Amino acid sequence: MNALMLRLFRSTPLLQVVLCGISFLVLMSLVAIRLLYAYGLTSSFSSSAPHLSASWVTGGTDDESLKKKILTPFENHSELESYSLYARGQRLLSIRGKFVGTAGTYKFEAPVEINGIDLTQHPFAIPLDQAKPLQNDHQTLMTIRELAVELMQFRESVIVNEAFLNLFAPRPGTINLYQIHDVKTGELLPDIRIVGVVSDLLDQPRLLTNLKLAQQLLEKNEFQGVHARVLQLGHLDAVREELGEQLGEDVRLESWKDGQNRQQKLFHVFDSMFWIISASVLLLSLISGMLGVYKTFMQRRKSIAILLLLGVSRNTFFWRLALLNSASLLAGGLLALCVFLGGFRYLHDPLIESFRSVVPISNPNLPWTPFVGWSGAMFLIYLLLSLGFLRLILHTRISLK
Amino acid sequence: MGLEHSDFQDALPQHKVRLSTFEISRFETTTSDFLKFNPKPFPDRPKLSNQFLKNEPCLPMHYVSWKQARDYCLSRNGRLPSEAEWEYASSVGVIKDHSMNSWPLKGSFPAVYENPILMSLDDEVEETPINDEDELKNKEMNLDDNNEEEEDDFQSLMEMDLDDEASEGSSNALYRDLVPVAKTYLGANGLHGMSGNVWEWVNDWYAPYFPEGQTNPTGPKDGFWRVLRGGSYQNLNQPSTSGFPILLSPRFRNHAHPDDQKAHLGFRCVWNKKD
Repeated sequence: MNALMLRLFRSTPLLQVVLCGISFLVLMSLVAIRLLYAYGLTSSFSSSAPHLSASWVTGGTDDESLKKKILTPFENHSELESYSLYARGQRLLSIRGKFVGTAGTYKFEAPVEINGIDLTQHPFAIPLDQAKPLQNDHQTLMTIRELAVELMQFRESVIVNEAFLNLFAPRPGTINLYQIHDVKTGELLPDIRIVGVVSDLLDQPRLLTNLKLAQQLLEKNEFQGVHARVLQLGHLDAVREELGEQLGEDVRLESWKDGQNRQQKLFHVFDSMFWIISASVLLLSLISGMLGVYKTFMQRRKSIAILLLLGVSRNTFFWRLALLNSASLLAGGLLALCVFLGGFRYLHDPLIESFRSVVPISNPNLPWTPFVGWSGAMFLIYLLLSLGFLRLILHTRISLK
Repeated sequence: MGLEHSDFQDALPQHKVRLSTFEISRFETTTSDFLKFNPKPFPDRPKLSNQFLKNEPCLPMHYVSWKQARDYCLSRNGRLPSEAEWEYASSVGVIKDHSMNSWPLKGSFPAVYENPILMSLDDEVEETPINDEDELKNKEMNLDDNNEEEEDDFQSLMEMDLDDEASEGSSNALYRDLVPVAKTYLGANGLHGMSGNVWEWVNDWYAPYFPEGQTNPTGPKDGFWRVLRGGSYQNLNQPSTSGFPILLSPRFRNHAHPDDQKAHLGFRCVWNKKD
């Protein structure tokens, strides 16, 4: 019977293999890009932002009683890894490299957002130690912990974001001291030492450092609120709710998990496109394949009619055809997977680089478990839909004369 | 292990650990030893390989990944030390009160020299027979929580002939550059270079300490970073509140990805005590 089915539908399996192979190669590539994008964004935020930010609705203050009031709920919460008062402000700064010679002296003027947090205790409320370190005097990239100590021990050490670094030409690769002026007043501010670069996905140049230096650079003694990191990201919503109840309405609680960042909104646009394209590819491929089966079915309808008259039930016929169809799809899927795995090794880096030219994501490895899960789910949907179509075709009342 | 108070949460809490006897290399593994095991450690970086082959036989092996370090130790029938073993070895005979964030040094923090005094390479090879496995194993540490026994161990360590040829050229200083392994600071524990020169890979994955007392802890089963201990020549400019480089403290925990190869990452091996 199987041999007979193969003779009846001899061209269909090949068509199925090719169609399924091509469409799944496209689908797997799309899934990989989406996962790299999503995980890249999460990774960038995880290493550059606090999980929670509580800020006074009325703005910054140096009132001790208000400080105590906002800190108390954080002090008493056991689910927090770290928390810190923060000082934030913006200044139009002129920055000039020191000790780099005339050729290497950089100068620019830009509105820079200055952020200060408590860096006396590790871990920090913003994981600044996970920034990409610049080369030290020994032309070595520091480890995460060395960078943490650098930030804790040297009061002039700062981390800048990529938007800040883009203002330099050429981009600095090594740690160096910089002289800062306020552009409006011409006042000389404390020197800073750029030790690392954080990928925070923001267009605004930012400078992150310890509280004291931030307040000196801002020339204000006030705080804007509290940054905090939770022990387990999965508990963030519960922690946020509990803190929100205790902090009251005078304090606004925010998180990067809210998805309000511009890059996150861009991702939602990408995500919508991803679903539309994926569904289109899947359906078009499926319909093309099924049309091929239908065409063969119509061409061989006399032979099929004889088979049915000889006593072969439609059900038996369906299961034989389903087996052939499933084997073809499986072969196509495996072929696509092999081609994908073979090409991915070489395409990963260029793909990420071209992606990073548009979106400033970090560079994570492809998370294989969700990749296999997503691709597997799509294959299952494809297979089940194709079986549904086959059943429909077989039970269509077609003329068998 | 660990500290009672620290600015670093991962150094907490202080907890009791019981270890079996082990033997530890007196020196960090040298470039020459490593190159005998793996003549091409950097297949993608020929310039670096050439530099190692030509110039630096007695310096500690550096630019070495955790995996390479592990493989080397296994090839010598040894292994990388566990984090607990490393911490004990760096502290034994020095810290009686394990709550102290002390140094594996003779009493006070040593002088720091900008420029290392490089020894003649020929002399160095003669004077430090560190290729000899027996020579490497000549230090035994009885690691028991019993204070009296620990004191005895300390005495026996101090009575050992540390003024042999290998330690003859050793220094009382820390250097701001890589120095030959026998030139690194000789601590009161009889080990060279437990502070400074290169960070040393240990076997454990990095994770917060398990607060309960343990016997022969080996860390979590998996993780992302491997632990590094001991500080390096690059860390002498990072003082702690007490004025000493905090990164060189025997209690300080650093970590890096097992594939990382940096100029200041090296290792030494340990062996299980043979009955």
